[in-house]
Amino acid sequence: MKTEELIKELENTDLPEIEIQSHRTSLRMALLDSDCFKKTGFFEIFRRYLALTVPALTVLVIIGVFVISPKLTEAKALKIARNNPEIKRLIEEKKMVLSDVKVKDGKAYVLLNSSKTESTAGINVQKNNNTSEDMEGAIVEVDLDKKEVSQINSINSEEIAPLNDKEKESAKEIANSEEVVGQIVPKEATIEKIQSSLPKKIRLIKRNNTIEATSEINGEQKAKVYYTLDGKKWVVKVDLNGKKVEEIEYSSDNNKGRD
Amino acid sequence: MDISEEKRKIGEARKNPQAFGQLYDEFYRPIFNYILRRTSDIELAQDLTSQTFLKALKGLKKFRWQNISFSAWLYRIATNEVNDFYRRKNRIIQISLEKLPEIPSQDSTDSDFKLAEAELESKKEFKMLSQKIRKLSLIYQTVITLRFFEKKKISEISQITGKSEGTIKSQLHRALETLKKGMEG
Repeated sequence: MKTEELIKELENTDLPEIEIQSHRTSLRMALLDSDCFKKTGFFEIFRRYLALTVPALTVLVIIGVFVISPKLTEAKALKIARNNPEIKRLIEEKKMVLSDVKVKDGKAYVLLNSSKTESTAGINVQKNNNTSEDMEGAIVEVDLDKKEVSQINSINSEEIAPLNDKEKESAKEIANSEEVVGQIVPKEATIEKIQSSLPKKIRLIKRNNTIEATSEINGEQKAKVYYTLDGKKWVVKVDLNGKKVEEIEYSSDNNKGRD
Repeated sequence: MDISEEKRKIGEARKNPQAFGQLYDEFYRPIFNYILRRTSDIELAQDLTSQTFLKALKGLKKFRWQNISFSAWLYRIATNEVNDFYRRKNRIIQISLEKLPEIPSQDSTDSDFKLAEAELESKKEFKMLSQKIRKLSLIYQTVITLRFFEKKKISEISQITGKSEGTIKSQLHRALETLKKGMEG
């Protein structure tokens, strides 16, 4: 066989010309779906971690809307309340503090209550220029749009922790049997009334579409025993749970002692 | 395809699966048939074709036009795949599952597979020639197949094999001489 003949035979051979469609298609799909086309740029990383970033952003938005924004509003309300002259006076004279804030319908409600802490040393005796002013706490309504205090509503302790007759009797006994009370309140003084006193720790709550004050400690019960003699007044504050006198408050021009 | 058109297509195919898909569509058939004519084995041709295109896809970003066309580059990959296979002298194709995208297995009873086998079986003359060619060295097998079955010019074979045209001519001459002896023997 000559080389030319072999070449001719090779060139003229009827060659297989095959295409297996299923292989072609499946290989194409596999290649186009391969990792080689997975981009790793910033946006691809962002897209890849979208499942994480979206919840994270959502949490940030929720924190912004429901936590940071209300806190800013509360801070604004406290500032407005603190600048009110009447509240300034109560803070200075009666040692009251602004302790809690709630925002509702464009208005803020700020809790104003006593800053007195429980005395562990004994009975707190103090003179007061105005014992007739019986405000223990108040809810200050702040108009956020007008940026002013619109109302100061005294908190009625009877609504928060009312006393029954037995508790009133107990308060009277505790007050009368206290030696210090005997030294300060004249024997002739009579008990004018016995009322509940605001619990030490109170806070604001939203209830029935209104803002109310409530005791933070369940079952805390305090009473005020009001003594009077010749137009003069003495107020003895009793802790019914601890069965002890906590505080005696009297006007600076009162006669001293029962004897 | 002129060089500028080819450059544009390659650039697109690097980042766009659809553009790669167009290149694949253009070259699947010639590459598959080249490998089939080298192996005379449809199943093996499928495996090696898959490997060739996977390597092409992975190497696309590194492909540079350094006196070699994309077509020649693809044929070079295919040639290396076939030659590597024969060098290993077994049919364990080391395809890493991690590297190769999952391709649905071919069912040998598939009608198109059966038709392909029938088509291959009908090419008696080719089968006889192919049998003789596969007895040659790998480089002779390569140059003869590329030159006479794939109708490639000497310059193209030079690009595919990375050897000079003079070397290719020489190898082709020796390959024919060896094959002629084999045909006569």
